[in-house]
Amino acid sequence: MKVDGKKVFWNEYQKDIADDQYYFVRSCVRQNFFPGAEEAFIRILRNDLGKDLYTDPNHTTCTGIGYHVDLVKLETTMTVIARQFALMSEAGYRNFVISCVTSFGLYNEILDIWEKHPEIEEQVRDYLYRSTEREFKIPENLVHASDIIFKFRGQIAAKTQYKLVNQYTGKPLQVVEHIGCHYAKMFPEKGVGGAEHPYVLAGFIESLGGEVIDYPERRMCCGFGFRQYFIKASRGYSLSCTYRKMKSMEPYKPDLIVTNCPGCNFFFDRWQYVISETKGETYGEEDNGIPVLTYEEVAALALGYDPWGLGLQMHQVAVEPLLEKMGVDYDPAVKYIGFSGKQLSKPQMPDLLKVY
Amino acid sequence: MKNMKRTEADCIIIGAGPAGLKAGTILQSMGYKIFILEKDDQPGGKLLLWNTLSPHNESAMEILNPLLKDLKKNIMTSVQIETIKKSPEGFTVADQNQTIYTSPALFISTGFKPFNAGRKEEYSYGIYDNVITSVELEDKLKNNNITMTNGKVPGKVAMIHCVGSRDIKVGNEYCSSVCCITGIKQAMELRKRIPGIQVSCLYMDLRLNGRFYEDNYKMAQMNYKIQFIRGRLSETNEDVDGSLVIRYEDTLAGKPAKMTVDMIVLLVGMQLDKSVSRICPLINEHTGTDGFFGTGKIDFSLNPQKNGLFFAGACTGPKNITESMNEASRVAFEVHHFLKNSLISENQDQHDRFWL
Repeated sequence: MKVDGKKVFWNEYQKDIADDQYYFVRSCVRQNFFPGAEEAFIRILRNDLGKDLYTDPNHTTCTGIGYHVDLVKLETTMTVIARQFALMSEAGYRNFVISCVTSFGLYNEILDIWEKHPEIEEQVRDYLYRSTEREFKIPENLVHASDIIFKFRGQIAAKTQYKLVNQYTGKPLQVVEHIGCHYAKMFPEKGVGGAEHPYVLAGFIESLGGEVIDYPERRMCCGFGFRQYFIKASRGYSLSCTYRKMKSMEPYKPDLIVTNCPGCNFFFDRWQYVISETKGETYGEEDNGIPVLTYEEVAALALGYDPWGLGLQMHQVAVEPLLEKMGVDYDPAVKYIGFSGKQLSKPQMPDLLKVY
Repeated sequence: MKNMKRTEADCIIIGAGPAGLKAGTILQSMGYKIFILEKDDQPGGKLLLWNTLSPHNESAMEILNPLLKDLKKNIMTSVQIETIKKSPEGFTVADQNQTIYTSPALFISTGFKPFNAGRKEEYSYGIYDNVITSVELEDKLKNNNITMTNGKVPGKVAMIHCVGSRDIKVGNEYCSSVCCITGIKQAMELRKRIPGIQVSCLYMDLRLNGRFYEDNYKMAQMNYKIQFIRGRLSETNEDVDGSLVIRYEDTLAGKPAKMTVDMIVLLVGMQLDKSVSRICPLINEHTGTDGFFGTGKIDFSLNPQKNGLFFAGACTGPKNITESMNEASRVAFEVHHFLKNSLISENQDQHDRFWL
């Protein structure tokens, strides 16, 4: 493989990412799946990078999941998104940062519709005003949160305590990067590095000293795929997609999977458990599985945040083997002690996949 | 302006490919003074890239050498044209050495350039080893060195048709007309030279309009056992052992499919070489909606070009070498009529020798 060849694409697919003053919209599901990830993003931006980031308690879902499973009409989705823009305008911000990849794709899709059909935008403005008496401005800059981490990857790398380097061998950790389908496959020009050879996570991983794996099923969906999972009868297809990806990446011996999408992270993580129980197969060394983290969790770990404060115990695949390789200083005894000081429930021991 | 060299001719031909050379030979045989300006360091155009030509497997050099026989002193190589200007007297062409060529007629035979396969990002040309173009394979055939980057001989090859042709995504909706037969010729050549090699052609439609093309297609199936799959490539990936895993749609079966091969040959289409149209608005005005020069309509007039500007060869649309040279012959006669008429009206007495 010629990495220089990829650089051609990376140079072609650059995008404007605002420097500061961000209006942040959260994901519906991430705070339930991995509650520390978004919090880590906010802390890194405010505390480590000194940025102004506004989180608004009044914003709602973008309706993305409902929209993609045909439960929410397009007009409703557009009006809800118009309301988010109105909240941003009222808060005095123009740079819109989105936590969720599904939302990112949907916001871009709606903006594209409005650009091509201004009459629809006018209609939506009317819907919004009649329902809420709100008005909105189109964001000057609309990016995914992983774009921001990519933009400041150099500054983050300069402050890190730990690298994506195996402390025992001195070699770079082998990392699978998985970009959510809706990050760039819908609008390649909106993604750093485009859709075929995206750079948003690869560049971030490289800046921390890791080495990115390019495996044959890299571009395939994680398996979530909305209808594949939400329609119960199709869940086997969801699982088989993930299984195919795991089998494809296995020969490269990955130390870590990094994602920028809530669904991808969840399914890579949870399906490894299901595969271990149903197929009797695990990936990674000694039945540990391959840890699956979000980009903010990786950034925060590298910056020296406490892994249990980040909520890494909420991942199905245990992160301890990764912490050991990175040389992260952590206390195994407090893994399941919550912020309140009370003992959290421990996961029941799977038959095969190890839990620490 | 002090060191300027001025050279006058009856017709300046830009491009020393088959069309330019053929037109030059005809015009010179009729007594006209011609100059052929070539940007490369040797004449021959794209013939130089080819080893043999279908459908009769003729040697490219055996076609080129007779064309050069009587023209050598009129061909200027390594000419970088800087300006082309039109005046009532004709055309003034200036090159990088401040040489000025003037003539009443200007014959454009700038040919084509192969489609940049890197634009089909999903095919990963320039990224994965052993993804090559038909032009590169021809070079390997010419040097009789059909090896992969690891020095080994490929055991299985996929030839991908219509790369940059009939593809709305890259803006080329036309058929390049010669790639199908080129692919068939190259596939048979691989089978002749490498015992046991498996060759699969993934085609959209097989467009074999030239004389004897169908015979080649039949021969490829019956005598050389080339596998023809009606299928479109969707993505190329590299496996851990360096083999290429391709994902395609079998458009006859209507199903997605995968194949593992050692080498992929992208049969790249033709695009207009815009080097002259970029520097001369008058020439650029003649660009058709498909990106090639001219209208492609039947021309009934004997002397259609009143302004002394003529086009022939692959710059007026994708065509094989026979068609290119036939068009060049026809247009050379148009040049003759134009010159004859303009010379009669302007300077009749001095040019009796041109009258037929």
